[in-house]
Amino acid sequence: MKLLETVTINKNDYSIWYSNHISLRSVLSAILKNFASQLDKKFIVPTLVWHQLEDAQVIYVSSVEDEIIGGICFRVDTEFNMGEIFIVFKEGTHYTKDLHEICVRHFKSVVKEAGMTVIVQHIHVDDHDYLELARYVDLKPTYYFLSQWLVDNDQQ
Amino acid sequence: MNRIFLATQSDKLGNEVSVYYSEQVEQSPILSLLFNTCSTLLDNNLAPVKFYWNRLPNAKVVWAEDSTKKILSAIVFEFQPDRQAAFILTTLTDPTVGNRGINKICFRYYIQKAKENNMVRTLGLASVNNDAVVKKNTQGDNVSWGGGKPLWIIFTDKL
Repeated sequence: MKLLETVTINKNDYSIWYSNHISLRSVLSAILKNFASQLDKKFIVPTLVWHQLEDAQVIYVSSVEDEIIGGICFRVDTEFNMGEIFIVFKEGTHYTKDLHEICVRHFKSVVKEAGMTVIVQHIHVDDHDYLELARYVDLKPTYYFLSQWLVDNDQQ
Repeated sequence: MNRIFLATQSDKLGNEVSVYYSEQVEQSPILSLLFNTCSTLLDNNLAPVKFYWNRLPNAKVVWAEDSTKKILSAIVFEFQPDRQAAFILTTLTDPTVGNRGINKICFRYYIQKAKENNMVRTLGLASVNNDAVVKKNTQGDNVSWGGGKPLWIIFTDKL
């Protein structure tokens, strides 16, 4: 784990960390909870994301009490030269757009350093929470990848 | 979605549950409960951080659901031909339906699948602090190894 920076937002101090694998129990736990929530809402395709945890990297925010606040779980896809965010996770309500913006900045920097040329994030069209976060941090897309379920909602 | 209906059974309260089997966890509807369970195990130091992520997508699963398709309980396992063992990666039960014998029902069909696939033993790993699993199956606090308390316990039985 590498400490990237410490920031103060609304009088609260936070640490921003990077790890090239998910080695912290509390981070993995938070990511799994967010996966479960996204699955319940049918916002993610299980086969596309969850087994990539083996290669996952993470940029996350912790409080001074070492509580996990949230972060970005991503992977570096050298086949397509892309840094792919596969989940933005949150614990509680402290993960604001300001913190997300900082995480995105570091995410971009990490994947660029790894030689990637494009960043990708899958967001379900009804996932207003994440769409809002993306909009706030100027993640204006270059391309839209249009997709549609080919099976009933229950069969996803 | 890949699901094979196995049976309808009654739990301890007389509620009917349907039991299903899938060759692949990732093609089954149990993922949400699986992630929440793994998260709880991690929070309570009952699972290693290096979980079986690479093995879970292709693991088998037997699960029970109610008439509304709510997932109640499941056993996730893999066949290990070299050991001829049906290795349980994890067991899950929705906390709202505990103590109704539903996981026991799943276990029965896990055994059935193991036998059908010519396995000769069951295998399962649990943290020694996992009371839900360990105290039910052992003398609990009396478990010792090398003069101390082990971290994990492997359960095994002949089929």
